[in-house]
Amino acid sequence: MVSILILLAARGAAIPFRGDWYHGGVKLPRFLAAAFLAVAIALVAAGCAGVANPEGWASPAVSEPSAYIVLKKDKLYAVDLQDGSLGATRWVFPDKNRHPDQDKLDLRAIYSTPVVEGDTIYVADYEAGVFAISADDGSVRWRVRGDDISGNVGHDLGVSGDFLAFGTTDGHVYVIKKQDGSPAPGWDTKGRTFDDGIWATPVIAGDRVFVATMGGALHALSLSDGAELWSQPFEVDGAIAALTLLDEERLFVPSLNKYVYIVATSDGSVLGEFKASDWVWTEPAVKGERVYFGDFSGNVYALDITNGIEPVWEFAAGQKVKSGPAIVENVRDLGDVLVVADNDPVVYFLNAETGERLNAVPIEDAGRVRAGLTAFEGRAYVVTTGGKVFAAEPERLAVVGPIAVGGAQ
Amino acid sequence: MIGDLFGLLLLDPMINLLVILSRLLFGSFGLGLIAFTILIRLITFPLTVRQLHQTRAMQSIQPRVQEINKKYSDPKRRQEEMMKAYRESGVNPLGCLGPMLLQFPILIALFWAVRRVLPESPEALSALHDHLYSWTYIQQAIPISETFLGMDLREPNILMVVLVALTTWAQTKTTVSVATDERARAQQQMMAYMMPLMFAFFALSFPSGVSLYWVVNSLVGIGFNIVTYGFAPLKIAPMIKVRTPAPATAAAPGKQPQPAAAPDARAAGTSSNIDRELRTANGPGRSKRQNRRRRS
Repeated sequence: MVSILILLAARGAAIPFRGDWYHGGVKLPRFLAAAFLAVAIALVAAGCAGVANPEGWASPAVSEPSAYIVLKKDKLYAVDLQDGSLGATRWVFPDKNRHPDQDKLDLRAIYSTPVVEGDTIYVADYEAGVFAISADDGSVRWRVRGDDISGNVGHDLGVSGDFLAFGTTDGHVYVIKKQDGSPAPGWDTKGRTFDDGIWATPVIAGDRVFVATMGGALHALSLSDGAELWSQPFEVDGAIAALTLLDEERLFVPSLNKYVYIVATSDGSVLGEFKASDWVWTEPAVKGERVYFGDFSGNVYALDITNGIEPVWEFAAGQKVKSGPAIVENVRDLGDVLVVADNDPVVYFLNAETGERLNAVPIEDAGRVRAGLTAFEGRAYVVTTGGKVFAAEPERLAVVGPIAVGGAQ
Repeated sequence: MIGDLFGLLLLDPMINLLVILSRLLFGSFGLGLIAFTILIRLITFPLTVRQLHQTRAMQSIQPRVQEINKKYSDPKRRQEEMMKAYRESGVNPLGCLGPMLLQFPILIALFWAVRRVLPESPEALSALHDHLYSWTYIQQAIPISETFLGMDLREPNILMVVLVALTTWAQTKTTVSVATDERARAQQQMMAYMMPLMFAFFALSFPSGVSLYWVVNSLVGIGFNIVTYGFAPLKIAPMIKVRTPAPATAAAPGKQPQPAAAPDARAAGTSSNIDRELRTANGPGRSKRQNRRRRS
């Protein structure tokens, strides 16, 4: 690409450069013009290479007998599960051929893991809003239009009981009814507004909604009317881009300030904190009193959270770890195996107890891994930005794939 | 390779500087950009002064340039004589372009820096991490608000497009013309209108943060022009006196060119000025001894 542009620039050398507009009669030497043009084009091309458009990073969701997988950034596939393996694709959303009303549905990128509740799938698009989709045929049951939401949705949907919660990059939080997408009682169509954007999943726990902002604040709101429940929010010097409910009493709060915090749901007090090597922007894998996660320096950590935070082990992967790891339990001869994928991507199989590396399998020509891994039936499913699905099999310490999904491969 | 160098030497320092300035200035990226622009103007001030010297020098030899234009009909010969005149007067015809050329890599880098510092997607925020230094002060500043005076600095803004055109035009108007012949003057007239239109066209697709840089840069430029050249329509006299070389006289064909007189330099009596005089008297960049060697 760059070389083509430079060739074009070299061709520019053959074009007479009229440099005499500034100094009457003096022509700018052609070689200088060509060299300057080449450098300018190369710089533009160099800049082009790095700008990231929304690609989405939704983890696969499994609810037997189907798995729901977001591929190609804006397509949701419902796939049959046969003996724990991915089988035929039942439907794709959106599908204008099957559902003419989806003809003008223009999705941008999906960051929300599909939520499966009975025969309905709930999913949010970055720009197009929130959808309730029939698990049977992929038809839309209701929709909260993107135009009715202020900002973009770049995370999972919070779900509990009859309600869904989501935040936006503009700092709005909405709580809606699962039944029809209308605002929950005590919430209006404008939601609740914060000063900073919301990139972390709002978590619903009982009658409370926990909201983390990119300004570094964690709020506890009443589910019934959105009122603040803590005397003051939990605040850190760094953006909070992910939020996970560990149990009724504790939240896992990672931050771009390199720290992770365990915060009490009751009053926002810090039960423990741990400094990682770099940004932490991921959902952890949890087993008992241990949490596992990676950071942007490529380190993977196991922390004991029985009393505050105690580091158990640390493992250095090669690249940035954005995707949440998955634990595959009771693997023959190996016990619990932690499966981690870094940005490269390389899939690591680690002994969950000791952090010992069991194997590392690079995935070629598939893009990056940013979506969290999903464990199911002795496997961990890995979705790449290249729209491919792989199955990590700890028993064989191997990665199978890409798996054909709906003609996606 | 060139992309890596571009990132290492220009883009990454620029991104981090913008983040630091924004955090220092109340977390406002707009204010950070304004401070950045002023900082760049301060850093490039020596170049700007050099450009001013060169422009004045160009002005001083315009009578000779006109004479050469009249005298020689052969373009090649005319060009040679012109270059000779420039050389003898110590004028680099490209010297005026320095600050202008420097603007291009800065603009290109700024275009990408704005898009990176104000990420439009989660992926872009993740990618920003790769450009940031690991200093806590910088890390804690992320993310930076993209709004400034009600504008989304990531998106083009029509008000900024208009301001880009107006300030570019105003800067052109306050710049002293060095052209003396009609054709060059006509071309400059045309450029005075084409440049604002061209930059406004660019601004239609640029993030308004880049346009903000351009507007502030132009405003500083206008101020500098008025201070140094004055502004006749408002009867403002130049506030800075700049030393200019005395005009060189036209050389007759086949004769040694007359040395450029430099009475002010002689009066000043500084060693650099005397050196310049000696160099000029013995030919460009040569001493008497060198001339003797050349003859032998």
